[in-house]
Amino acid sequence: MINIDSLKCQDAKADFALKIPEIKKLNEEYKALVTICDSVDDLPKGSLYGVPFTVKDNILTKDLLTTACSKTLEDYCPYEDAHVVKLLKEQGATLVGKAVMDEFAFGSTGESSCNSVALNPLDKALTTGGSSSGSAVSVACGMAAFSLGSDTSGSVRQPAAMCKVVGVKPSYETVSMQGLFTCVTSMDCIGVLASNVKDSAKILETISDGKISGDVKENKNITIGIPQEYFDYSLLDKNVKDQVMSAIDSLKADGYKVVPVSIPTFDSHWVAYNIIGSAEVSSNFGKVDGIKFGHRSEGNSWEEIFVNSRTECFGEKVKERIIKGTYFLGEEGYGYLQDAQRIRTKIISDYEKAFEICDVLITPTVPTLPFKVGNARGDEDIFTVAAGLVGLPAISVPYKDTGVQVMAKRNDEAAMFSMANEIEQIAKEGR
Amino acid sequence: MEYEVVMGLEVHVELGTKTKLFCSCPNTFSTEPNVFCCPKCAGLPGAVGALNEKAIELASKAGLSLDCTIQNNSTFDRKHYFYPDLASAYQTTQFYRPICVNGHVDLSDGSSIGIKQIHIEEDAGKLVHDPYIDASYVDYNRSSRCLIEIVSQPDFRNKAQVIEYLDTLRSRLIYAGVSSCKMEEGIMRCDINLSVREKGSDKLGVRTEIKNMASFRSIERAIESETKRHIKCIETGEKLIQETRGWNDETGQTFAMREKEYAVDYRYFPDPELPEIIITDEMMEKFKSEIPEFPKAKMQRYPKDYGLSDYDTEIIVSEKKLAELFENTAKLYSGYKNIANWIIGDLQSIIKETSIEDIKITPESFASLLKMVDESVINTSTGKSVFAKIVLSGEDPKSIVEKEGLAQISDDGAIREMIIKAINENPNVVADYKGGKEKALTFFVGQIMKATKGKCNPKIVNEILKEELAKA
Repeated sequence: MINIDSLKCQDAKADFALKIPEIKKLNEEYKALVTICDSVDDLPKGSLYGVPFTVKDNILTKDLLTTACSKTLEDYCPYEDAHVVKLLKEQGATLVGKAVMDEFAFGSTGESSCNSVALNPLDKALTTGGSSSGSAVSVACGMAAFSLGSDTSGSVRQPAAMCKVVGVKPSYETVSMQGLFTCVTSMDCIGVLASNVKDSAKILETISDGKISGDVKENKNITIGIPQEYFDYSLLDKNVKDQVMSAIDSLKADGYKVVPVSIPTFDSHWVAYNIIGSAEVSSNFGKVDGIKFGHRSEGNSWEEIFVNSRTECFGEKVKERIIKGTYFLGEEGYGYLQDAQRIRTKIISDYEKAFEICDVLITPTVPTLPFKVGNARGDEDIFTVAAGLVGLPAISVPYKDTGVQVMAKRNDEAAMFSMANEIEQIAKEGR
Repeated sequence: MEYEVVMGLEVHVELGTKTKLFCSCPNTFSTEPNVFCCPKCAGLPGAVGALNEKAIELASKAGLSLDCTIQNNSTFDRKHYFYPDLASAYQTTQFYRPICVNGHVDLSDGSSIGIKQIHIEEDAGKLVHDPYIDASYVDYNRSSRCLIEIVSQPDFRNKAQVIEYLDTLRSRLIYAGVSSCKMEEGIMRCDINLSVREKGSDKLGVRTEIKNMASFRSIERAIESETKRHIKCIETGEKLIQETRGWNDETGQTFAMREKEYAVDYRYFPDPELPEIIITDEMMEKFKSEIPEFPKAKMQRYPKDYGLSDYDTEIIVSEKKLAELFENTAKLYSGYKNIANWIIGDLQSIIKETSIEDIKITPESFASLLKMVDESVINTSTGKSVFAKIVLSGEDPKSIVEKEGLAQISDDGAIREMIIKAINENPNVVADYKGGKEKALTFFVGQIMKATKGKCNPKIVNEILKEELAKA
């Protein structure tokens, strides 16, 4: 894996030309990228000069295919970079390629891509997690120093845990969404995957236009909250629970105060996310009709073109999500959507109350250890969905065989990074 | 059997903002397709929008102009349906919590038309059908332009009320700076919901919606025609379908467009991308203070303050620009009737060929010109020709008079000399005059006018002429 500080690039173009054969070879093996860049522009000698990065394929890149791993966008070539990509290029970072993903970010395994399915460099038989599967793999196997992903209910943090890299989701509204093919408008964030906590903070600072500080400082005054309901989750794997608890014990030993907190609405998180998320998806995806962009199917009327394009090109998971969401927006289901919004308000208040007595929450990132490809249980995002619903910053740090998640108050990335860095240290020390 | 027609109006007005509702594309019309659009208003992936502040201001002013309550908090909702000209497959509008509610317009017949609400929404694009092949094209220039929809209660009972209401709406919205309200350009569009019932009944009949009326006259004819059609159906027992009907100006009939037999489920829900619209009390006070006095109030005030007749007042206040020019000139010059005459007569005929937008004359120039004529610096006909220049150019009349040497010759001595010369050169005309022909006087006046290139004071010329002729 690549550490940004270890790179000392003099000539980005030359470095890139040298690296390309290696990247192609890695990609043949791990299938992480939909598109590999064949050259690099003249770049300004900014703070990230020559640092190689990949971008999840649902984020626009100028003159480079942006497919979201869907048949609908198989030929889609944007004429503009997403705002975050512009910011990175302004610092001289080198775009290496576009990362595979679950189609339109619906999925937590990377398996519903209509391009390739990425393979986990740790063990090809095990899942990469998703939906930012290619992002996690490209960092894990050394193609890139960092990758941009998107996180709605855990799509950056969960694959980070599965591939043993760092994955961070910023506070809602701190990073511009311009150029992201948005699924759930009220939850989506562009996030960062990197090989270590400090790198992820540095990149988050750049793509948030300085709103988030890249300085990671030690802060022994941080109080750690342990939300009981997460650890009492009936399907939480015993190994995962034990490993995360041992990390917490080490933190206690290092002098951190640890308090129990309660999130009474924990059991409603998933259903609230499901209803609200699918409703917004149904609304946002109406514009995919084959008329103004993307694949256009044959038809003798506009209705036929719409229906055929959407039917032929959307994968099963996408269709399922849209149909579900349409029901909740319709007369019959709207009452459930209103209920879900009310529950969401309660959920937000639960976390506000918890943060009155602690600064960060520590939980497992995923309830299971990496499972075999094809064996997803369906509850991979159960611990990561809260940060999307509430707009909190959250990070997953590799620890032993699993990932430890740290959540902080909205806009308190400083506390989150500080604690994440501590956990990374503990992991390094084998504690 | 006596029947009563019951009508409600939905008036769409394009707001006079520079840019569209959620992006910086120009909020203007273009004949070339797809020149004023961007990823946001064309519904491309990854586009984000930002709300146009001016649109909120203008919508609030529209509400204040119609006696509505402006809500401190309102939201945008998405109205979903599929159609090629709807770029994002939803229209951003206000369904649950519109910005203005509960207004009214009082009419001259004593009735009061209730306004249920005013809401802000974005316009859709346009489909253009190819006349030669079976194909259609989508133009997104109009997509996401700023609209307000003014929804009335079903309080109309005749077409005169409808016309007066629309005229009042137009005049107030133009005055408040909300929109140019030009119906002929589609900037103000009116849909009428119409039903007919037995007079005295309190049940509503089957309702049809009429669209595509481009002028007040079309609206009157459409109401007449559609009312007749409803009555015919009721009397013959023919089924009246609840539907949308277009008005055909040529045939003078409505025609079926699409059936509204069932209510379409638009799946309204609050737009998650847009924040709540918050209008503070301070903002409302500011908007209120920026709305000018309306024509009706001026109709009361002008006769009192300026001694103008109702007739003169009505002409001047019919256009905001004329009223402003009048009032501001009246601050600098007290010949109010004189100002009114020049506006109603000369100004109106000058701008007949162009438009009221082209008026550039300032109140200072206008007052200055009128004073120059009063003080005989220039005569009236010179005054009118200078006026014609400065109305459209905005130049200062004093500098024109100086530049072109238009000042009247009032020097008695010089005029007397010219008159004596003319008398001496035309003895037979003098004889005619002495013989009783008054017309001979006109000849001499004409001669002096020629000699001075029209720059003499006719009154003085006449006086001196009579003196000298008496001597001759």
